[in-house]
Amino acid sequence: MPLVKLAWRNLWAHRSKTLVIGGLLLVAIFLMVVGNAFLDSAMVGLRKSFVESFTGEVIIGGKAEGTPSLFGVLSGTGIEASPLVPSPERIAAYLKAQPEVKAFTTQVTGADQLNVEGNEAGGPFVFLFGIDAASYRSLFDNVSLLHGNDLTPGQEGILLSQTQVDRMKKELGASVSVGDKILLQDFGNAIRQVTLRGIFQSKQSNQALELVAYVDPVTLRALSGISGGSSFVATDAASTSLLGATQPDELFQATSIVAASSKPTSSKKLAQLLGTRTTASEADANVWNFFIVTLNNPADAPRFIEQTNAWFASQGIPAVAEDWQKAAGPFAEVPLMIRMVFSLAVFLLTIVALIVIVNTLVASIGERTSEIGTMRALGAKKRFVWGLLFTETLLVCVIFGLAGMALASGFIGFLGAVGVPASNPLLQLLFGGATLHPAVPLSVLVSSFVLVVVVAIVAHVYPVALALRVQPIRAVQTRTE
Amino acid sequence: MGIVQLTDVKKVYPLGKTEVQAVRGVSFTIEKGDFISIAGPSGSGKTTILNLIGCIDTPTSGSVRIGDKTTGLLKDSVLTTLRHEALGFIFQSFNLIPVLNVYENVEFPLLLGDNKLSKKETKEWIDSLIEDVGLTAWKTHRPNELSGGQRQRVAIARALVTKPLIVLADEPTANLDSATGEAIIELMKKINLQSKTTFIFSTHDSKIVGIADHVVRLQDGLVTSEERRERSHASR
Repeated sequence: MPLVKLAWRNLWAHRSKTLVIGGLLLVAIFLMVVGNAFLDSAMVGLRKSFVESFTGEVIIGGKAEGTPSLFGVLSGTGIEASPLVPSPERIAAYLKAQPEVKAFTTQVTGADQLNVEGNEAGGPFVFLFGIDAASYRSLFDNVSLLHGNDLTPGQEGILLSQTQVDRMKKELGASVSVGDKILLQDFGNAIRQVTLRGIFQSKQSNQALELVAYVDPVTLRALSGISGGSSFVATDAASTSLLGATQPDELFQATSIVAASSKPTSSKKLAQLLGTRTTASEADANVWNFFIVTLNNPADAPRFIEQTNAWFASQGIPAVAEDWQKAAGPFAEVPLMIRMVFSLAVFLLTIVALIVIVNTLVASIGERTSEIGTMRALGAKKRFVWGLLFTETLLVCVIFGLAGMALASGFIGFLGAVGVPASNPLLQLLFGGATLHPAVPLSVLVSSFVLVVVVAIVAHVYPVALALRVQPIRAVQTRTE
Repeated sequence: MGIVQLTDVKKVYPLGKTEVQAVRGVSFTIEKGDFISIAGPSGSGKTTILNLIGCIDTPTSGSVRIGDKTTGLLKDSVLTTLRHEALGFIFQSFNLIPVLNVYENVEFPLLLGDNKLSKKETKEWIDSLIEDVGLTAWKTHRPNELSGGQRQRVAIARALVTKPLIVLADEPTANLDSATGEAIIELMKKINLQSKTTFIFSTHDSKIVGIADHVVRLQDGLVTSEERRERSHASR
């Protein structure tokens, strides 16, 4: 009679204990598979939503103290301005030479408030993506234009989402339409006026996209004080002294230009003044915060990032390549944090399950002392006793673990078929869209099964150690059948 | 030289802060094929002697020799092998494995070592043992479906399945009524005569002692008398 049969009979004979252990395992595995399936599916949706909308598989930015993202550098104090990407010509040449690279584009990033002429209060907050109109849309066909036209190369202008237009109406009482002038006001009170060229709706439901407006890069560079300065030539002493300013807006704080006026300068006047900056901005045409790269095979991303960072190091270029999660910044952090919390919960649940299983097994060993002693007296080696008890534990773990996995797979299969609607923006962010169709990836099943086996191995160690201490003489010291 | 030899065996058990001298210097020899009774009242040291011979306990001093092996010098794994290959056990409380039926209980010791028999030979051997103990009709029954006498018969078949040199039976009739107990002893004697297997059993029942051809009487951990009888008329 094989060991498995004997183990099975023992489990059946001690049904109540078997059910306690098995039931606990079943619930733990069910929760683990369902939770992981949800999180994995959400991450797939989230990844697709971000990668196809605006992060690509890889971003390249300048090195910073914090973690660069397309929305700014995440640091302990919040989001800070992104550094410029160094040596853009060399990086562009490098990217063009890589066979893995499908396409790439460039971007300037800023964060500002939307406003309209005559309104002094700040309007809705918006992330500004200063895009290279020639190459950006070929990578990210992510908006549907409701009104107006897309940005075109060399043309100043901004695209706002319908949500942003609605918020301007609500918060500023301003109805804006295509052709109107929009004021962009950064938090250092720099202001630029720009023409609304189009109103769009995001093709994918993504909370991050609702906060993004697309603007021509010249305007954004000027607004954010970004300057490469490579071909800007000062022609007189006054201009040269002005170049000492680190922020363009210092130009307007200087007494020689505007301090003569005792009245507050209107944004319109400032906008008129800023028109004189156009020449300098054109000189910064190749100054960017990011390269955004899509790959022929998305699975190559980790290797490509490693290879690219190695190239930066070898070339002494202070740039860094990051994946889409880093690119998405705070918007990908929430799901990742939820995954961490969930993983912690699974870990704690596993510990609790282990404790219960170990206690139940120890109690069982206590009840089976005579049986074990009899086996030892009849000539069972310690290896046999260990094998029997391990087989029992493994059987419980595998049977109930598989049952838990099957139930969870069925449950997720059902939810995958009907879809789980995201009823609020947080869920939309977590689900990476309006509806989540969860699926159980093979990796989740495999990792769950491995966990089951590990639990079985860990759980049996102490009870088996107790069992192996049972001496054959216990066979004659206790009563059995 | 006998198949079992005890030389000045002492066994002391700790009991709290005191010690109990269960066996206080016992020496005797058991010959191959003996049907020997270790007799004496409760507390005389019968079970301790059987445990020492059965290699499930070790002496505090003195030596217990099984064949050419002195048990006190052997490692646990060697003792386990010795128990499996040379000894069979019949317990007072039967000690059958509750989840196994009669056939499987008898088969169980064969699973613990290298069974050199083929599947067919194994089945025939187990069936013959079950037939010998009169349980053919019960071989698919579990222990809880059997009477005390039937359970002890299963234990006898199980003790014999590995063809041991020695079968040890600790008060095998203690949990049986007298008629059943006598029948069990008769069965053991019959097997002893047929197979020349050495049977060592402990009892305090004088009627059962009478069937033995070698009797060692104990009192307070010491041998008070040893008696050898003619083997041929052991059966009553």
